[in-house]
Amino acid sequence: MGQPQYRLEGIVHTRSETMEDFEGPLDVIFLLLSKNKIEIQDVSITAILDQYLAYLDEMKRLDMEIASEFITMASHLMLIKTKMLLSAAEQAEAESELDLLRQSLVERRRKEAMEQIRKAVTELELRNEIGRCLFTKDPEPLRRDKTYRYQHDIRDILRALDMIAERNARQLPPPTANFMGIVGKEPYPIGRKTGEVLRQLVLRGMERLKNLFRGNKTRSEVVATFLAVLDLCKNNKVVLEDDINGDNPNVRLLDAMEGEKLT
Amino acid sequence: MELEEQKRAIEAILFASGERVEISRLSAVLEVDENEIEAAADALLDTYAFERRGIRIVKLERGYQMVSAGEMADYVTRALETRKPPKLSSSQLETLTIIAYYQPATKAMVEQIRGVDSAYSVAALLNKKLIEEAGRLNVPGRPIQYQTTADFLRTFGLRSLEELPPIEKIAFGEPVELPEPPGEEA
Repeated sequence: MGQPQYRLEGIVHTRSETMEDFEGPLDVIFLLLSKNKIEIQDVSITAILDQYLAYLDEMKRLDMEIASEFITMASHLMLIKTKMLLSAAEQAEAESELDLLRQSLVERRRKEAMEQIRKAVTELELRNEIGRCLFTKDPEPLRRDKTYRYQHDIRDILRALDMIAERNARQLPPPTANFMGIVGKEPYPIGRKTGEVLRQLVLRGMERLKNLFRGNKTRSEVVATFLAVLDLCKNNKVVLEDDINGDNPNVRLLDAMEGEKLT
Repeated sequence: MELEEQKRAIEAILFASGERVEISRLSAVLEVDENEIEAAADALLDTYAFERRGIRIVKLERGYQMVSAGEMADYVTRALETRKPPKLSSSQLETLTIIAYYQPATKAMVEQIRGVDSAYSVAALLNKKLIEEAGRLNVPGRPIQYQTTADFLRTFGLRSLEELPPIEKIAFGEPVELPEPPGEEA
């Protein structure tokens, strides 16, 4: 059972700007239409119908499947063509019809591909039965052999002994002088710093917090200053008051009465 | 290395390996030309088949694997109280077939042909080692491409992909173009 082939003269655009004849089934006409390879005005429906009837004559019988397919396709074609010919306003509609047609062609191509796949699936499914009967085994596990296989010279043993002797010679820890400048700590006693801060505040009554750090020589001293201020705050000896700008608080010494009140 | 010796070596390696061993690997290990290895392995394969042994050797693309004979499957399953590996579901089978024919194929490709979401099937096939990743497609999103494995060939009793039943492949390379809206250039 074949598809009727159609022959239309001089309608296909070619690269050389001349028109060529077309030959092929109806859906190819649609495909070419959708790709603007032929103009809808150029397609003669009478020619297609004539050829279709001639084809059916040749078949000497009405093949219902081809006939119905022809009727859907041809009526579609006719509809598009009428719209195209009628007015420019209807052209947009005709174009969307073409779009739908294009989509249906894509879908058709997909279905064809899927049909092919299904065909292969049925064959492969049978083959799968063969494969499922073949059993395989896992690879042999690799066992790691722990036997030592290197060759050594007798002098290696002497060298090892030398190394032991050398290590024993260095048993005393190296003098701390070796570590000067590498490690070392110089903690600044907080108690001493507290005294210093208090003395400064007694002298001046109030001091900006930042100024307390002025003259601090080491990191440890900076830390000590900070902790000293915190400690004094905790014991209600001093109080931190916000500056107007709020960025550099003042440290004010509290007198004994004020301190009592807060405790 | 003479032929009989080669056959013995190949037999031992295939037994111990269990998995497929590539011809190139056998050739490197035995220090024998690949063609010679192939001839020796083929001869070994034929011997097993001719004597209808319980163990067979199957050729999978450019490699060999030792398997139990298919006719003995019933005895094997009974003795080991196991079952044959479960059949592939129809959606997995479809996905696998599409990848087999269109490989390297992306998930999008599979879904385009099947017309339904196939993420689960692809994942299941990856799990079963019937497909494997094969690089990424150089398009936006860089989707992963998949190809079939040697296990796939064995599972379907194929020696190579060329033995897949012939079908008419539809070219999906170029999508159907949208017709240019006429009159808009004016």
